[in-house]
Amino acid sequence: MKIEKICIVGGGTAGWMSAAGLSNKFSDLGISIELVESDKIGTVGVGEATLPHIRYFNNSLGINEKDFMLATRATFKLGIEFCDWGKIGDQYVHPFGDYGIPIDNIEYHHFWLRLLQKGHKSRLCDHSFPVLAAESGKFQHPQGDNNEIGSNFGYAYQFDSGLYAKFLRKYSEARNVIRTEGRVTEVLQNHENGNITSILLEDGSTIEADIFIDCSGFRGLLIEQTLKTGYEDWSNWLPCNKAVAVQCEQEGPSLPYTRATARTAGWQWRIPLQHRTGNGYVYWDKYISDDEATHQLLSTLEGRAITEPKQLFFKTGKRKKLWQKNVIAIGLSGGFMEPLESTSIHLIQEGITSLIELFPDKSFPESDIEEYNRRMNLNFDRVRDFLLLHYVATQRDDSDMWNYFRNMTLPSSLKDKITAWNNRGYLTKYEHGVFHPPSWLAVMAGQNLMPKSYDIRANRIDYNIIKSKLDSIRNDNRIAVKNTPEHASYLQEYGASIVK
Amino acid sequence: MNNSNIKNIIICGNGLAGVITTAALAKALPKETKLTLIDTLCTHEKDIFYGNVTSTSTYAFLLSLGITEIELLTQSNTSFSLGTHYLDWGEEKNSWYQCHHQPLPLIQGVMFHHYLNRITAKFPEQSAIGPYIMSVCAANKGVFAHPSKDPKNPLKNIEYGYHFHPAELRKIIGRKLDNWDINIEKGSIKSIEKSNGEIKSLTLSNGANISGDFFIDCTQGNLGIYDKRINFGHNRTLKAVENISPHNEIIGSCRKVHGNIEKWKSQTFLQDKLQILNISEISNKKDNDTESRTHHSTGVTITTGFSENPWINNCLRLGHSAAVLSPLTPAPIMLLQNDVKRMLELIPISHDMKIEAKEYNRRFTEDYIHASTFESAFQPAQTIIKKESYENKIEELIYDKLKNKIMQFKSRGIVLQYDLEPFNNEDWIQIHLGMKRIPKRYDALADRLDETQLIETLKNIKKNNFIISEKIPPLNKYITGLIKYLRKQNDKVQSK
Ligand SMILES: Cc1cc2nc3c(=O)[nH]c(=O)nc-3n(C[C@H](O)[C@H](O)[C@H](O)COP(=O)(O)OP(=O)(O)OC[C@H]3O[C@@H](n4cnc5c(N)ncnc54)[C@H](O)[C@@H]3O)c2cc1C
Repeated sequence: MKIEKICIVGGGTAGWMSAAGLSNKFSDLGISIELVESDKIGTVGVGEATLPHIRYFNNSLGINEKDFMLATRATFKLGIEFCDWGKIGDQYVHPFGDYGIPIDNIEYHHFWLRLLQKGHKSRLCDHSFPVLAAESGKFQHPQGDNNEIGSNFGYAYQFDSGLYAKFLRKYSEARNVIRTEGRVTEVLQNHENGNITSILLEDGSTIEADIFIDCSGFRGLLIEQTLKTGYEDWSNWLPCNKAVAVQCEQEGPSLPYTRATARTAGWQWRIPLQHRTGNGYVYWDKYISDDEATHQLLSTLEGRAITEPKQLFFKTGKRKKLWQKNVIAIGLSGGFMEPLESTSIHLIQEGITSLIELFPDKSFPESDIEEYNRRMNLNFDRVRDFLLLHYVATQRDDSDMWNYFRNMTLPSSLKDKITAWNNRGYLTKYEHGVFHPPSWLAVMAGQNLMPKSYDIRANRIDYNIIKSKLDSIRNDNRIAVKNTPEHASYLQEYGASIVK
Repeated sequence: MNNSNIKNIIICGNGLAGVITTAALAKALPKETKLTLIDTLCTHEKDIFYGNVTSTSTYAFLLSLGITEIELLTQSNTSFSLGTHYLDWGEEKNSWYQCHHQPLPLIQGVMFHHYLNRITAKFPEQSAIGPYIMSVCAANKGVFAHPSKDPKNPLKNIEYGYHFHPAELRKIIGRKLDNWDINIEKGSIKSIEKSNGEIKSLTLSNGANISGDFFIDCTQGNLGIYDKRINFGHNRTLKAVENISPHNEIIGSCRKVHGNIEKWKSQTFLQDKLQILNISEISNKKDNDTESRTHHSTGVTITTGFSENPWINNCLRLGHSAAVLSPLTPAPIMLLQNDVKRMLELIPISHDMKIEAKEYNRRFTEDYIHASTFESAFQPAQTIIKKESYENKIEELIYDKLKNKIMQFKSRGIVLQYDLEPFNNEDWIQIHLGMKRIPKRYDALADRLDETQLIETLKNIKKNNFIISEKIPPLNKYITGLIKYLRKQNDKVQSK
């Protein structure tokens, strides 16, 4: 029997993205959708940097990029700049795109390594157009031809997530999503199978539904408080457990990249939007007090603070099952990893896409649930390894936190990857997951993990030919960047800027 | 100018795997690395188990060895292949085309086969998948043309492999090696000199002592130094009997296979010949041994299965010394290509090869598990059941993956894909539907498309495929024409 009613609990980014995604697909198929949120409880109110995949999400909703950017005060994002990670004073950008192009089917970076080992040094970053563009504060959309420098890169956005939720609310309500204001006080279950049948609100009203999407944030109102699904705790690997966030005024033009600066007990983000900058310090409270963290954050702001510092607590990990009975946890209720690579919104999106593809009927076939959990587990696990890489690919030993990471036993999946890289510049591949070889390359090379050797096939081509090929790619990149407009003026020209 | 201590690579065995490996290394390595191919003076009759159809990746693969399509067509009897037509397969007598092609169109973001499922009750005559696949339409008529670049032409969806004979492919590559002056030693292996588990050198029957840094064992049997191939519970001994006859004028663009997983017969159309291959499974039970020996005196036998550790220390086993798959699908040649590509990515650079070996073995095992899973999908449903216990965890893994794939497809038409599988969505959709694994439900989103519009769309795809398949020539005509044309082009270039 077909599902007739979906109830979404929570109206944060996860809730409204789910409402938009589901209503876009199902509202004309006789399925009604109701979303409950409580203004009193509010949302987590952070989460501003994204990955390129969000463009597919917006596209599939038929959202116009300019409208969206205007509504959410969005800037373009070419990547993340990492400062002080390998060692203090280091800097690199992890872009959305490849470095160079393979030569004779051999990955480009082997040629770069070959030159490097012969003493012909160049930054890997100089071989990437989006990195250079980001560093000079420039942006334009990738142009038609995919093979040309200046066109084969991806981009994402930095936006006000509260405004994004509002934007999607409007979208969803136009597609018949009913929004109900109120606090959920009680959850009722079917005695036989434990499925949730309805929720009660503070005002005494009841909402019944066939399927519940739990977007209630960290508390996991349905998936955990009601269904007791259990949490896989990853804090031995990703031990940061608190954050303090503050917004500040923007000095100078808005930049097309996010910055993540390593600190002694965590790291700090800087996310420039059109009209302000979001900042935050993610830390491990074992090694720094809340006051000290707030102080460090405030003293390193680049503009005047315009909000009160907001304190957040979390435990990294994921729900043992993201789909359990007739409840699917999407967003913070499903799990949390620190926003070092802007993955949370992406995981929300993956959750929605998979749910749409595996949308069940009232019998809730075990096969749908299994497949959903299998996919999402893979996504979470692989993100975890990639985040952890940032902490362990380092020479830093200037604090207890860094020493903790230096002495850590890594998950074997990660350890093997690092070993193969260190030994011969080999990048392990997988198909399903967010971060592919160029991303691993960016971080490992960016944090000074330099392989002992490289693919010997790269020696087949004459040294001078390789040298001139790589030199010309760097040169082409520089020229392409020169001809690229400033990000801020491009935004205006494009008609997506509220700053005129 | 070399970042490597591996200066001397020995390839042992010059069957198909050996010559392909040697050619690939010769093309990829810097000139300083010395290659020696040992012709162990064996027959290569077991190469027949590499089968007779390739996948779509063979064109690019051969090109990377320096072999162009025109060389392939003019110097061997290789011809084009759109896939395989399985006929009266198994007890259920299923018949279907398993053809190479581009992904079927997504309609409003939903995979094509869901729409066929949606209309099956009301419009059964529109719900078979074959007519919507250009290569199936062409295969059905025995016609062929290269894929078109025109996005409006249905031929853009065609993909192709080759019908080939392993012995002929081996010869072409062998000739290349001769031209490139690869060092070839002739002699069977008399002894293997080792120290600390590493092979140092091989002594041959001709008295030569061949030392090397890295040994690739491409012999039919086994250099015999490390673990023998593990015998899985599901290992099967297969016997092949080949029959080659000149064919009458009709040649098909699609291999034909009749039978069941234990005993089948294929007809493959080469340029000038028809190859008939009979494959039968010989019972492994001891007490049948004498019987099988007397009754199966002709033909070539081999045991299928694969090692989990093809690479140990400085010896990599590649080809039949590491794995044998049934030639029922293009898997044997597909995976041989993968083995070579994987080896190239991991050519060792020092005598400590543990990291390379570990990664190679990991990827190798995954690949062979996935290929075996695909082959297992040709079994009837009632034999795909969980055993009470498994001697081997690999066998259990294959079972689990297949079970999940079938369950997902049958429950709601989901094509479950694991990481980097050799067989793609299209391959799986065709075999599931071919084996009559019909999804109970379809994607709810397939209901969003208006019915008349859907039927119209479907009819159009069918019609266009049909029109094109009427227009393009039979395979043999196409090949003759193509060769003539390419020769003329070639002459023109040379006279200039
Ligand atoms: C410090 C930090 C930085 C981050 N940075 C990024 C980033 O840069 N990029 C990124 O992609 N992600 C980031 N994230 C993650 C991102 O913020 C979240 O994934 C995203 O906001 C989704 O949150 P949510 O909707 O799941 O939860 P919330 O925003 O917490 O929403 C919960 C909703 O549930 C409702 N609710 C809860 N209980 C009840 C109840 N009893 N009755 C009724 N309603 C209820 C609330 O009212 C609210 O509407 C960050 C997270 C943190 C903590």
